[in-house]
Amino acid sequence: MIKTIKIIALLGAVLILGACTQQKPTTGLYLLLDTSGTYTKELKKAQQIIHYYLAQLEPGDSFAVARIDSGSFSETDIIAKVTFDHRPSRANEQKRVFSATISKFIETVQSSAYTDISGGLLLAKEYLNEINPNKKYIMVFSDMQEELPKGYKRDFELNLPGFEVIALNVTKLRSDNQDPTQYMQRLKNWQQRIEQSGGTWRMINDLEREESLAL
Amino acid sequence: MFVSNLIPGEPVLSWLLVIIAANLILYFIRHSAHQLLDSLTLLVVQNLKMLSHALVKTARQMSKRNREVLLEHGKQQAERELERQFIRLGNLVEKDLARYPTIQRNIEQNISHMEDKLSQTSEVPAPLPEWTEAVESITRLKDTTKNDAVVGKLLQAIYEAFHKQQGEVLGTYRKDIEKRHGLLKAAMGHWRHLLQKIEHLHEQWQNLNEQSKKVDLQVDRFENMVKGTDKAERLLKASNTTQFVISVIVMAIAGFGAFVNYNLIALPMSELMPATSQVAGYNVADIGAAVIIMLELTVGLFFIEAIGITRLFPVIHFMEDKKRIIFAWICIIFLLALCSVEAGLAYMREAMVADKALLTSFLVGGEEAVSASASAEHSNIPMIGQMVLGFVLPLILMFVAIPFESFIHTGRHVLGNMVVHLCILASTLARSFSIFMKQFNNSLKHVYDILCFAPLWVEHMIESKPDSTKKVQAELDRQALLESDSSKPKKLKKDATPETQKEA
Repeated sequence: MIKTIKIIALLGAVLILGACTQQKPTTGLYLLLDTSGTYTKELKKAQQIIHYYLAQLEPGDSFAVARIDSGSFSETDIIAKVTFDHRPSRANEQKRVFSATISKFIETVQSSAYTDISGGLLLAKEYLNEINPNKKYIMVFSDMQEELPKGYKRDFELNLPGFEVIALNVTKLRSDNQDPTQYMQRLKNWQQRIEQSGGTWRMINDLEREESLAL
Repeated sequence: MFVSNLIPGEPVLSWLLVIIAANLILYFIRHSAHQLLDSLTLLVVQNLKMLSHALVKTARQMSKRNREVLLEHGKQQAERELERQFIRLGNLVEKDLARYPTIQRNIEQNISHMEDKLSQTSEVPAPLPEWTEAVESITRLKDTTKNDAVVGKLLQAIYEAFHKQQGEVLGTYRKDIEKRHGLLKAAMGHWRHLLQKIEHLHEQWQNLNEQSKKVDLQVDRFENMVKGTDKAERLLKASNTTQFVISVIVMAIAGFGAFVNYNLIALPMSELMPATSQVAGYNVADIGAAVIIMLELTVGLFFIEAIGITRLFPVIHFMEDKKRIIFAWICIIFLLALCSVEAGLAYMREAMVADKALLTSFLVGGEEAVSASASAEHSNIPMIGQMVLGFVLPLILMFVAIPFESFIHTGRHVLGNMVVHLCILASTLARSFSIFMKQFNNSLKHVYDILCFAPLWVEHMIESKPDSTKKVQAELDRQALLESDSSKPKKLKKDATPETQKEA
C-alpha cells in the first residue's frame, strides 16, 4: 500500500514538474538587406550588425538574413537562416557557419535594379510566424526607398501584430538632400504603414551605440 | 446652514438652542452611553485578558516542553560522550590487559633467572683436603719420634703440601667469588628489566585511573541530566546557544562554498540539459546544477551518518555494522563519482569559455583574430584549478553534515525559546493594551461628561444642598415613615378583629 502511494506521489511530482516545464522565451530576428543600387556599399556595416546579433543571440533563438531585391517575396532571397541548437557548443558552430555564409554573400553580391521592401517584410512575417518565437523582430537595413518593377502589387495590409520593425542605417538619398521633407515623409509613411498593421516601429541610425541595438 | 436657520434670523439663538438640546440629550442618555462604553471596553479587555492568559499558558507549556527537549538532547549527548569514554577505556584496558600475560611471563622469567643466579651464587666452597686428619695423627706422635729426621722430612713435606694446597684453595675460592660476582652482575639486568616493567605497569594503571575519573565525571553529568537539575539545564542552554550560533556560521560558509560550486557547473550543465527549457522561471540547466550539488550534499550526509559521526537517521545508525560499512562504501563511491562528474564539468566549462572567446574574436576580428588568439600562449592553470575545485568542493561540503546536525538539534530549542519569548511579549502587549483600553474608556467617559457639563453641574448643585436642609428633610421623611408605620398595625387590627371574633 505504502509502495503504491510512493509510486503515485513520485508520478505526481514528475507530472507537476512536467506541467511546470515551459519553454524559455525565444527571440526571432529577421534581417533584410537592401542590395539595390549604391546601397550595396553599406553592406559591410550590415555584416558587423549581423556579427553583433550572432554574439547576442542565445540557444533556441532564430536568426535569418534575406536580401531585398527587385522581387523579395521569394525564398531564394533568404541568404541564411538558423534556429540555434539548445547546446551552446553546437550553437557556436552554427554561428560560425552562418557568419561564413554571410561573408560569402557580401563578397559576391550583385546590385539589384529595384527595391521590394514590402515583399521582404511579408516573407519575414511568414518566416517568423512559422517559427513563432516569443519576440519577433524584423530589421530592415535599407534607405527605405521602395522601387517596384512594373506589374508588382504591394499595396496590401502587412498585418504585423506582435512584430517590432526596426529600420537600420536609413541613409539619405541625393533627392533627400535637395528636399529633406521627402526623407521625413518617407519615414513617416513607413511608420504609419507598420503601426496600422499592428506592429511597432523603431529607427536606428547610430549603429555604434550598443544600447540602441539591444533587443 | 440648517442649524443656524432653526430660528429664522437668529443664528446665535439657534446654535444656543441646539447646544442646549444636545446637552440635554447627552445628559439623559449619559447612563446608557457610559454603560455602552463600559460594555465595549469590558468586551475588549476580557478578550485581551483571555488572549494574554492563553499566551502565558502556551509560553509555560512551550517552556516546559523546551526543557524536556533540552534535557533529552543533553541526555543523548551525555550518553554519546559516556559511550565514547567507555570505548576509550575499553580500548585502553583491552590494549593493556592483552599484554598482561606477556608481561607476567616476562616478569616470571626474570624472577626465575634471578633465582637461578642466586642459587648459583649460594654454592658451598670445596671442603678442606683430608690430609688434615693425617696432620692430626702426626701431632699425636710421641715427642721422641717427633725429633726423628723422617718425621721432620714428613712434616716438612706436609707443610709444603699444605702451603701449596692453601694457595690452590684460596685461588679456587677467589675464582668462585669472582664467578658469583659475575652471576650477580648478570642478575642486575633482570632487575632493571623487572623495574622497567613495573614502572610501565604503574603508568598504565595511572592512565586507567585518569580515564576512570573522566568516566566518573561523565556519569555525574549524565545523572544530573537524568535528574533534570537546574545546573544541568543552565549548562545545556549556554552550550546549545553557542552551538547553534557556531553551526549557523559554519553553514553560512558552506552555503558560500555551494554557491561557488554551483557557478562552476551551471554553465556546462547547459550542454547536458536543454538550455531552452525553464521550470518556474529558472533554466532547467541551472536547476540541474543545483540538484547535483544537493545530491552531493545528501550522499555526503549519508556517508557521514554511515561512518557514525552524526546521528540524524536512526535507520542508518541502527544498521548492522557490516551493512553500515557496505552502505558507507556505496555512499563514498557515489560521492567520488559525482566529484569526478563535477571535475569533468569544470573542464567542459573551461572549454566552453574558450570556444565562446574564440567565436567572439572571430565575429569581431574575423579569421585573423582567431588565428592570433589560437597562436597565443594559454596557461592550463585555470583549467586545472577549476577541475581540482570541482573534485574537492563536494568532499569539503560533505562535512556540512556535522554543523547541520548541530543546527537541527539546537535549532529546535532555540526556536522554541524564541516562541516562548514571543508569547510572553505578545501577552505583555495584550495586557498593556487592555490597561490602555480601560484608561481610554475612563477618558472617553470624562470627555462625554465635559460635553454635557451644564446639566451635570445642575445635578451636582442639587445633590450638594446644605446639610441643615438635608437634616430637616431627613427628619420629615422619618416622621412620615413612622406615621405610616403606626397607622398600619391599627389597620391590621381593624382588619383582624372580625376574623378573631369569628374564630372565638
